[in-house]
Amino acid sequence: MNMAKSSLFIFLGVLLVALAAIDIALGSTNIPIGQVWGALTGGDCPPAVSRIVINIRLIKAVVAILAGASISVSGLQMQTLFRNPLAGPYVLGISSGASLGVAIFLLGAPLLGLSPTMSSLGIAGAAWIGSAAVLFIVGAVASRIKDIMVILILGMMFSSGISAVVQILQYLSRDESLKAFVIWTMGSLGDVTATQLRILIPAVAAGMLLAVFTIKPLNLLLFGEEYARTMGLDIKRSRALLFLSTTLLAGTVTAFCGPIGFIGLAMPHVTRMIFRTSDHRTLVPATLLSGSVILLICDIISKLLTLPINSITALLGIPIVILVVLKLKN
Amino acid sequence: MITLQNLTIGYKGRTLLNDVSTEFKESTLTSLIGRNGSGKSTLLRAIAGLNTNYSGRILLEGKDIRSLSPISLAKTLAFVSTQRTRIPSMRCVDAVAMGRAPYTNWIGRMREEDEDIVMRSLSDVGMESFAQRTLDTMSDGECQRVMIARALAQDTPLILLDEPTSFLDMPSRYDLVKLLGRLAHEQHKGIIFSTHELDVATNMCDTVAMIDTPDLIHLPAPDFRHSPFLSRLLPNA
Repeated sequence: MNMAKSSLFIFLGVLLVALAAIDIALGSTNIPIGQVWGALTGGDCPPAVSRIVINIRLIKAVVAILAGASISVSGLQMQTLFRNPLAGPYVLGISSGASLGVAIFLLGAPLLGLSPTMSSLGIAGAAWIGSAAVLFIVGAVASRIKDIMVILILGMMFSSGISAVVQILQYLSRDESLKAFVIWTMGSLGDVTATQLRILIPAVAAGMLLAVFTIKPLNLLLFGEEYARTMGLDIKRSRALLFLSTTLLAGTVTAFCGPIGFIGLAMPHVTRMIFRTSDHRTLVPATLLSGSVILLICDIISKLLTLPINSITALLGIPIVILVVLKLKN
Repeated sequence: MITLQNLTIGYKGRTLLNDVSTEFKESTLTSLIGRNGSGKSTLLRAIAGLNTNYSGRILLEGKDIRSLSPISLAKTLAFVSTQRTRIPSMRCVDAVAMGRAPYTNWIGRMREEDEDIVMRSLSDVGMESFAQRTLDTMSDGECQRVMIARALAQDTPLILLDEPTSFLDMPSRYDLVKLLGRLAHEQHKGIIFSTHELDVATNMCDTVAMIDTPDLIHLPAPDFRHSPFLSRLLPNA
């Protein structure tokens, strides 16, 4: 690794820590910096303030970091696997698949009478099944049809079809379960509870660990599946590894934060531009960092302007997506 | 080193080759010729292990290629396809380095000997000055050479190339086939490439394999030039 690359990594790392600190210091309640520090280090601080800092702000910052890293790394994996610069968990319909899973679970869950831990696990499980199902269908089509536009259109159709099904489910469901689902669809980073975090952290960690083992397959897949196979890649095993990793990353985040648009598509491109490389040994860790950084920035902006975070991610992500499309046309 | 045994291959319901048996040897440059759609690519892809939809057997140094693991196949045989590979911001050296994939560890760490082979492969195809250039800034012909260097870095006794001359102008075609001949004779590789250039195929190669549906005619080049088969690929007078 050369000097420029190392210093970029250090810069992103420092930026991540600084933004996390700013994110925790900011909030709707005005808390002096000294007390925030006290709450985090277990020092001098009123219990009520400590609860806000730890239970709300710290959790939210951790969720922003995990969510940003997860959907961006997942986007990188999808772009290389499908050889499609416009792929991402949102565009391919993977997030929609997760939504459908969660919808079926939440609208049916009251009948089961589950504890909070069980129902958090249920939401995650439903999202994994939903996103894995979409991924398999998209993957099956992609292995037959090499046209990138077909895959994108398919992903869009999936998203629309699934939201129609979700609407039907909402229409048919009873009041209390409907309320739970509507709250989930408006979901944001802040709604993740400490219980859910106990599922989110290990699931994302497992997804990231698997992602490390997809680095060499991804580098080979840059040349396309056939070349990758003639260079010794076990294509079935690599696909399974990539699908599992992306399901854990994108599926879990969607389960607890709702669909986060465009970041997963945009950040791999931003990272490629910054690091000027196509080598996934650099891109995977770099995208992880840049994804976390961008979602912290989105969260800080949403706090300052008191706007929902999903609109901020879209407004920041869409210009980058448009740039990519224009660059592709040339 | 590579033996076709009673090979029968079809494509979309048509029989392309029927009960074909022949052998391709090391230190030999073989051209594979035939009309459009006669199955040159299908045959090459079958030998490369990308298409297993055939009956009969393909033996690599005595072993059925369908019984080889992806890694051991990749250590015996390298493939250069017609697919374009202008990967943005990938440097030449990194593209060639991917050829070391069957030998590197789980994350693809390059040892000193791997780096040496990469640089040697680049200079074998005359591209060492392009090492730091990225693929998206290079011409089709240059990318083609880089992909051949990648195949050399794979360090295999056998190399297959699907129409490697098709993107190239006349002088580059001759240069490329001369290069393939040199690699075959100096590094004792068996090299098979498909082409539509009859003069290149019959005058610059050691043997010629012609698909004369559903047969494969495989002769030393001088014999082929004086055989009646060549005329079947020429327009009727």
